[in-house]
Amino acid sequence: MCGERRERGGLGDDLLAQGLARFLPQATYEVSPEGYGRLVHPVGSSLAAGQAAQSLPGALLFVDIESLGFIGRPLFLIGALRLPGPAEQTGNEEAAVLVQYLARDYSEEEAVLRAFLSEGAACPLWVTFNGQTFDLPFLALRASYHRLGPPRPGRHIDLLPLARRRWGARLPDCRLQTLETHICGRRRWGDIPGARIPDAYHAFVRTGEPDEIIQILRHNVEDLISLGFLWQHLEC
Amino acid sequence: MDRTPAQGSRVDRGSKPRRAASRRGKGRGRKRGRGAPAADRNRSKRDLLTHLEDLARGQQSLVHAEEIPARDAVWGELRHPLPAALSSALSAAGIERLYCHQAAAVECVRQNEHCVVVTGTASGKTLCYQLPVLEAWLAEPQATALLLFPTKALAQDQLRSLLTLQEGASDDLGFVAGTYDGDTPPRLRGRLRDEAAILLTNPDMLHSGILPNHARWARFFSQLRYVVCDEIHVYRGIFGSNVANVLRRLRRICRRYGSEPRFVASSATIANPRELAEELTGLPFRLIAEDGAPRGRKHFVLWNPPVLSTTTMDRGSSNIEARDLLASFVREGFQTITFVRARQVAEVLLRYSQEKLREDGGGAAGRLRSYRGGYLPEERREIEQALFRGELSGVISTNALELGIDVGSLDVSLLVGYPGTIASTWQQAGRAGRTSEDSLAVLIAHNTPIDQYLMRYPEYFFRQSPEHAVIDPQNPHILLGHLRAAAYELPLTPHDEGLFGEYAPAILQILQEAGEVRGIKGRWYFSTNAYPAADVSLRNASDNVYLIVDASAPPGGANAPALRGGATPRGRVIGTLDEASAYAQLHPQGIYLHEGLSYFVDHLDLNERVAYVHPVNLEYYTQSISDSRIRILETEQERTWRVAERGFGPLAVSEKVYMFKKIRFETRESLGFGPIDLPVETLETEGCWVTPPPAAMAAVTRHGRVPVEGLWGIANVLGDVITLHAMCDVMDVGSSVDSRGTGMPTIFLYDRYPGGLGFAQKAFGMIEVLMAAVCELVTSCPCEAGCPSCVGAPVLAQMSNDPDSSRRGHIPDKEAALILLHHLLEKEPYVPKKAGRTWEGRGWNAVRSRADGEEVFPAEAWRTFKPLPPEIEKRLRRNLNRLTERRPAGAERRNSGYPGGRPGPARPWHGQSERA
Repeated sequence: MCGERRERGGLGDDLLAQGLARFLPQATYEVSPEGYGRLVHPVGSSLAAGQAAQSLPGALLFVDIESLGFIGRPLFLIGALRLPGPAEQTGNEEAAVLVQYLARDYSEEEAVLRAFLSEGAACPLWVTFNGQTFDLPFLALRASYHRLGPPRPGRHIDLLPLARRRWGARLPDCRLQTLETHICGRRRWGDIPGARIPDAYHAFVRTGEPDEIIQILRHNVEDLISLGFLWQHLEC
Repeated sequence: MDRTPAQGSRVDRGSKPRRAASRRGKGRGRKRGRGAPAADRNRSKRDLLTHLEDLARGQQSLVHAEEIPARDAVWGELRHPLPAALSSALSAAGIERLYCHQAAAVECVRQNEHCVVVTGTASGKTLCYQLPVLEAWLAEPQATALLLFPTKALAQDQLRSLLTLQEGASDDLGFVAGTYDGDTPPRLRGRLRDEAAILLTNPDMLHSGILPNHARWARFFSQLRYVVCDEIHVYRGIFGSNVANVLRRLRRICRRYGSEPRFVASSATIANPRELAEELTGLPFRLIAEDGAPRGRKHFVLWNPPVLSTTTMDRGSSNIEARDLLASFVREGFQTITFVRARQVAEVLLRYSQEKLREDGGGAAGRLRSYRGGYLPEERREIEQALFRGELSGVISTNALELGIDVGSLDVSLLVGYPGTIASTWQQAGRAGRTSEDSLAVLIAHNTPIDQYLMRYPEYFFRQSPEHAVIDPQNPHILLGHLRAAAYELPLTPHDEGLFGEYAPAILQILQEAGEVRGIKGRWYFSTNAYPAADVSLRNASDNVYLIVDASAPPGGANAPALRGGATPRGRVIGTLDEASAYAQLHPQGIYLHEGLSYFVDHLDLNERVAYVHPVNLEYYTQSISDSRIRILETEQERTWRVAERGFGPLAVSEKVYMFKKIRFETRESLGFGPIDLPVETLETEGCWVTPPPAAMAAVTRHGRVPVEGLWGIANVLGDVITLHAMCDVMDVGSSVDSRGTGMPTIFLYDRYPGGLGFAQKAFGMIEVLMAAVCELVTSCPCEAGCPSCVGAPVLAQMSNDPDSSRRGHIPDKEAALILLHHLLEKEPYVPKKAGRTWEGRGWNAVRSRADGEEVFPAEAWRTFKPLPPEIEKRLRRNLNRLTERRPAGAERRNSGYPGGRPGPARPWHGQSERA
């Protein structure tokens, strides 16, 4: 028999909570009543302030998903960075927030999608990196699989083609991490390679061992923050 | 509108006449322009038999003639007429009324029942599914239908038939239809996913390409009304058991998307079509078997080449007989199809016949073609069309034309050699047959035991019912692969046990322990990064294909196939060959025959899977010779059984093509030999074996008989008997006699599937029951000295590559088998009725093929226990380890430990039907 077994609300969740407290201390983690893991991260003021300079009517939602592979496979993590619109900017720090919706096992995907789609619908503009061909169709397929309505952003901007046009000629490639280093001047340490992510998630579901899932969560946060900075660079 | 059939695939919407000349309904009386001279065409078909009798005069070749009487059409009426668009399309095809089986199928489907149609060749079976599918589409334009065919070629043919119907419709019958398979260009794939109302594909593509990606097919599955399974008699044994699980997965996906499609199946004549349809789908079926199509009188003639020497019973070559008959029929203006059993024979016979016709003059030689697997799709299409339009006066084909590709109905069907099963024989003979005129089928015997037996006892063939098709979808070894694939597609729930059977929970438990699935809140989720459908091949044969490139010709057009690595071959691609045949026919210095031309093989590249050849004009062709042997890799279990030793464990069944002969055309004299240096092809599987004690062998020798001949007889029967107890097809197990592993002549029984499927393992455990059944069967057979129904017939391994089929040998010794069986079962010693016959040397290690003729074992009896037997569980776990070990994390999915990195079994063993 399989010795390593994770019980709902038992050791596995404790391990995850402990790990998060240690490696992502600023984040708050809770198990939502709908049955999925919800992480809320504080957002640095530079991002939020940068946004204040923009003249957009409403809030911006940066979206990045992590999945078990190519389109059609289940997804297990949706990260959403919400930057408030100018109207909300009046001294309300709470409005800039990064939320991660985590399926703690395969069965929680539907709850994750449901929560993200209902909260994300409030934002008129979604921003992604390669979302036109990946994240949005992915979300749409999984939503249809769970018989939920498709994601309906008022407007969607995919930064990949914009970045390509702007910097494609002078950069070796236009991957997000290349842009983040060369354009945003950010650098990340100990990131998990993208190809490793599906296996790492399977291992987490099997063992409840939180190390790698925390790496994935951090990877997702980094991606979103870089996306936010990239947006500023493109807007300038 | 996309009108470029790049690889023969098409999406068509409301297209207009392209082939106005050939509006037709398959199997209906029709008018056609014919290429043959008008005078010939006016000949009465009554002359056919007379003509044959004339040919036979003086040499007693015509040994039996059976008349199958003519039959009038039986019409059927529909309770409600068909929609106007549909009836106009039928009128355009010259169809005003439906045959009773067509009407019955439409009514049956209207009443929401699943049905299986079993009627003769060219009886208009196609309309039985086309009408319901199109009626549903007209009533509900978003409705979809999935049409499954066992081969790509058949799907192409059926697409053409659908489009012809579409063109003929007066109202708009603008459905989108297309074939979706390995040949479909990527740009068409997306379009078919999004728009197709009717999708034509094969079970392999459904299994590995469509079901795992069902999310992209949500539209298609949610509207799915009909699933059509054509030619289901092909789905038997391992292939059938796999297809049955694919169909269960399909039903599960449909349920997820809220649809519950009706199944319409068709089958050639087999003993149990309804049972097969029900086992394949897990649903109740209604059988429609009353054939309403009219049929002219048919003569079925058995033809034996003349005896050349009464002492050796040497007979004339069946190929030379076939050549003479074919040439004479063609000359008389009878359109003739000739079926041969090997690809090379098709080429040799074409060459012989063309030469013969050229001697006579008249230009008929140019209207003769060969047809077989390995021709490029365009070439095959062209031959089919030319045959259909009557431009060809004859075609020489392998069984590639046996399935329902519509080439029209011909006058004469020549079968060179018994095709191996009764069902196949009728199927091939059915290619000749017109609705009102006489037709003729001639079975020309090889000088082999089984063919000669049929010549002596024609009633054996004419009175015997066709074969049963046996499948076992719940075989745990097969189920394991499909449960992984199913879990990948959708989490499994307890509800699915109804689909996958009682073993499912036990197997899921094993998968969970291996970390492959994970049970969460009563559902089982697939929990690794694998693509499990890629680990299961539905057919027990490798699907690797070699390209044949004429390096002396300029490269072909844009559609030329690329090499394995993606590079363009240097030269013109003239054909393809499956891996099994590549070693035997494309070895360096070999002569490869294509369309009657000779090509010299310069180089065979095993990595790129390509053979470079150049055209030559030589007086000889080559024939390869192979040796096969069985190696015991490990003796896992060893026990005595009464006086004998028995064992079980992993085996390597290997075959090596080691030399070739040069043979002069026509005279067949040998011009020399050459060595072949190619890797050994090995099937690693599991098997069991029984070694009789020396005393048993001595008992046989005492009666002046050869023990090994008896062992062969027992091995043959054992292979038949096991199918009754292990729910497998005769194609799925091999049996042989070899002495190298044990030091003593030993009977082996093994699974013809890499890793094994548990058949031989079952045999090991019940050897007493099996041997008693073997003894019973041989004893009770009324034959005198052995027949295909009891001790069967061995076929020498090298003979499978022999185009002239000068096979020798005889039926194994029934008396020797009985002496051995009585000794093994510790019965009273058996005393043979006659003295021993002379021994004609024969290798112990030949691989045999079997005459079919099995019975069905009641399925219920097998399914009464729930937990997996411990030894099956052990093997399942071991096979699962093999599966997961050979998969480096994430990267390359298929990397077997086989030479050349080939995951499938080594060769399609003898008797495997050629895939079109």
